[in-house]
Amino acid sequence: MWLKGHFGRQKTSLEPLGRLETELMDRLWARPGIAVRDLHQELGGRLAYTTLMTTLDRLYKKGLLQRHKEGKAYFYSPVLTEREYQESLTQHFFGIVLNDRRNSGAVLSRFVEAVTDADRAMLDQLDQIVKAKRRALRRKE
Amino acid sequence: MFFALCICLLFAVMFLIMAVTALALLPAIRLTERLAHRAESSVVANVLFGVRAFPILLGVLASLGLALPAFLKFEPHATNEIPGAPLLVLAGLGLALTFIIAIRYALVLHATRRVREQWFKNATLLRNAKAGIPVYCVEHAASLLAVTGIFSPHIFVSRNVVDSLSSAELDAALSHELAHVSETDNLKQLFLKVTAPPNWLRPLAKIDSLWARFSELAADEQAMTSGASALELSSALVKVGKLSVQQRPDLLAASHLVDSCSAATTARVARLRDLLEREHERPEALTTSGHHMTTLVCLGSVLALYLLLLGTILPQIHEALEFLVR
Repeated sequence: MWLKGHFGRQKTSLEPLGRLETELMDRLWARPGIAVRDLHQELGGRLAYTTLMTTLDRLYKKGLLQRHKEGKAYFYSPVLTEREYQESLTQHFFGIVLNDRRNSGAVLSRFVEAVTDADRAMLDQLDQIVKAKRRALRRKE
Repeated sequence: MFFALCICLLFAVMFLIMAVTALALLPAIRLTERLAHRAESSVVANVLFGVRAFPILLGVLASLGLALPAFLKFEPHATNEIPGAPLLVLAGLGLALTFIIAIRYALVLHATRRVREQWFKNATLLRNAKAGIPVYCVEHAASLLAVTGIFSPHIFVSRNVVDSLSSAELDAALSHELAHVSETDNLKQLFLKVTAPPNWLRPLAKIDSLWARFSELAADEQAMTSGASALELSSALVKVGKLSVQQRPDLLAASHLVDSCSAATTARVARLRDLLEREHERPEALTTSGHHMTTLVCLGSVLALYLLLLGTILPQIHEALEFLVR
């Protein structure tokens, strides 16, 4: 049981979603804990019931949705809030570029490669100069 | 035996010339470092790259351009000379070095392709920059503004950067990236990555971080000479820099790139601040075409000299090779 709890859980997939998957995620973020039948009605029969079930099942297997059974019906909810999901995507993406050792050898020229605390202070100073310059330019106009 | 001896000699000559030249260039590295702040950044970046690439290129050229023709011309095919231990050791080191470079090349290309594919998955074409280089807008990427690719470069900009920068700031930042493209900095970066010396060869390893710093300064200078204003470039640098820190400060701190790249950021900020404070909106015009012409003339002269002297020096080279075999 413990093993299942710890290792049986799906890791949230951060691969890009398809159009239908995105639409369903948006609806589930707006109304978490919805049954398949209710969601089907909400879509106005635009989708076949089986297509909807298959897509929700795929999202569940990707670790994006959790579900519980009440009677014969499955109720689906997102694992992460929309904000958490977007943040995870950003972190995942940034991690791929900067933190993944396999990718750290990639050949690319970045506009800003790295910023340390000392650079932050210097950036603040430069920001002040830029703002002062812009104010001076506006006054001249 | 003829071909085995030939291969041993080629790798041994390559390694020997490379090692001797690298050691001989150590004083030149210190001198370049001292004089770096008195010259244009693009000149310094090119000199640093030249100093770093010279031992490797000379090793390869001496091996294929001198040792190979001398061996093929003067060594009898029916040779039964057996390579001695020193030659075998040198050849082994040369072979190991070539193997390491080949492995690194494959890894770097794989990593680059992987990053690019990830970006493409979430990218839409924003516009075409100068010289038809496509600029893509990437969703869900944190403070990204980068150019990848060597022969077909692509620029990627994250949505938050597009939204944060004004049109003039984005143009200035793109001019910086286009300067990297016109200077083939990604090709140079690939060369430096695959031939990176071990850390214990500190002076040689230091060239790489110096080159990173001066190539960034040179890209800023070139962006400004091609029309971007120091004000817009500074503003873009501030905004993208601050976005980077806001998004993932822990990742930035963990990045292996921090040492050399932060030095590049520090130098750029200091240089732009200096330009703005002294009311200089643009650095003096660079004469990059003049530099390219000088490089071409030098290369042409070396090639002409090589072709002229090849016939006369081959016997002496063969004698030197015989000494190496024994």
